Amino acid sequence: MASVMRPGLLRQSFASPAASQRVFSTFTSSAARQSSPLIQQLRPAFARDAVPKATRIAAFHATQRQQILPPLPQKIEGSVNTAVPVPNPDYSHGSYHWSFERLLAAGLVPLTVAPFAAGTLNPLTDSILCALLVLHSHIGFESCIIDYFPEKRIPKLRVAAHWALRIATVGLGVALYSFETNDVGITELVARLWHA
Amino acid sequence: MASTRALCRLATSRTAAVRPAVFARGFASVSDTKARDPISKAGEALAPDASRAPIPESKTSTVKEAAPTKDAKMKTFHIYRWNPDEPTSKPKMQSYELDLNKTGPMMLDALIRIKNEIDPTLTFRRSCREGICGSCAMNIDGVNTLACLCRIPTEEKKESRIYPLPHMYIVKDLVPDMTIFYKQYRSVKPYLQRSTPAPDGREYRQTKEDRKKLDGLYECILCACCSTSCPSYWWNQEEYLGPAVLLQSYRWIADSRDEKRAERQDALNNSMSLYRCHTILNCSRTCPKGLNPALAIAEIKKSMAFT
Repeated sequence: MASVMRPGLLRQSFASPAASQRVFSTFTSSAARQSSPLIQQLRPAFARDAVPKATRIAAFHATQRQQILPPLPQKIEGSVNTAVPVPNPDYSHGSYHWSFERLLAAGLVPLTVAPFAAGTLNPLTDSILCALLVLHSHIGFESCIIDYFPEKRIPKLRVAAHWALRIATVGLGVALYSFETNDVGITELVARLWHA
Repeated sequence: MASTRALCRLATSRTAAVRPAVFARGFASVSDTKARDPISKAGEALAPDASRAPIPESKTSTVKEAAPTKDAKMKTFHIYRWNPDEPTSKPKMQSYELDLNKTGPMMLDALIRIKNEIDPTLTFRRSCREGICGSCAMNIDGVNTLACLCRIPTEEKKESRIYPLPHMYIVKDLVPDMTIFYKQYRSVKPYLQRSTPAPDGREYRQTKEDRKKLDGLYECILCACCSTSCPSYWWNQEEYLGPAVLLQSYRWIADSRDEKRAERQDALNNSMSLYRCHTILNCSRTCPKGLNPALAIAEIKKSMAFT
């Protein structure tokens, strides 16, 4: 029950006696005292209709209890008749970034297919594949963070997410490096798993 | 497994102080229906908030035709209603039953008939009734189109749902606030920019091939169906320009008479204005005029790549 996790809400829920009954529903298992919904379904239809709706089987929900980023009141920068501010050109985050991202993706395609198509596993291509994979996944996740963590709403969370991503990328790089040097390498891993 | 749940709740109550509310997921429950009521329900009792899901049609009334005839083809329309005169009230879905025999073929005809004969308080934008002005853009049965071009499906069993354009601030009922859309359009400078006069002092001329490049770009009526169908535009409306504005930006980038191509491209050359497009392609799918904003955006990206 929500009020257990948020003590402030507990007081309000106690205001209504029905609510306070529900707060302790799991402890006193009042639901078990009334027949469980599963048993109710087994009853004949006329008995089922006699049971109040609130105790019938509830659909199983797993939705969020509260909105994640609820919309703020509308705010217009400047007046209605001025243009949206045009940001300064930033090539490294604009077209260069996009071009590099597409080059990586294009380069990954032959690198992924070739070792398995050729049958032979060259450690050099393997290591290039690992490097490109690390970069590709980093750029991909960075794009997700920029999309879903708006800087103006949750600046700290966004910075935290970026740093978590950087740490994860470095970790991935180290892990793949050790896997390549000390162990078989990822293409060999996939080949073995495939034929295992 | 009530004991596990109880233990979980005891454990989480300790960390409630340091855990932000955003991460406090509720526990799912099968039997206790009231436990699944969101916290927002208690919050709404304290401070009602108009910006959340509308009251569904099962909980609101249905307004019927005044004098139904015997062989009437009655169809139900569920329309999103919200009144700014009661700003703290929840938006709700109002149901209307119309006789399709007396109504014109398009959704706009149904809306106008509802407004004329059944409920004059229903508010929506409309003007040309022929799909050229872009005023009546709204979300009909999940698709952003123009109401004047959207035929009413004649199956009476299917109930139509009419919502305003998604993820826009609402002025009233089906009228979205288009302010930021127009501000973004203004920011791409949608006019011919030229510093040199024409070579022979007459009009600025272009070849037929150059003019052909503008086909599919100039026909945009700025209805905002595409931009409001784009999830990237939903999540980053302030910074991402959206497919409609980018289409128009490309209309000027591709115009051979325009001389400020580099400046127009520089205006888009940052992480948000253009590059929040991830080729979701909702825009081209939903354009009521059959245009292809996604293609225009791809052409802009291509023209800016490796330069």
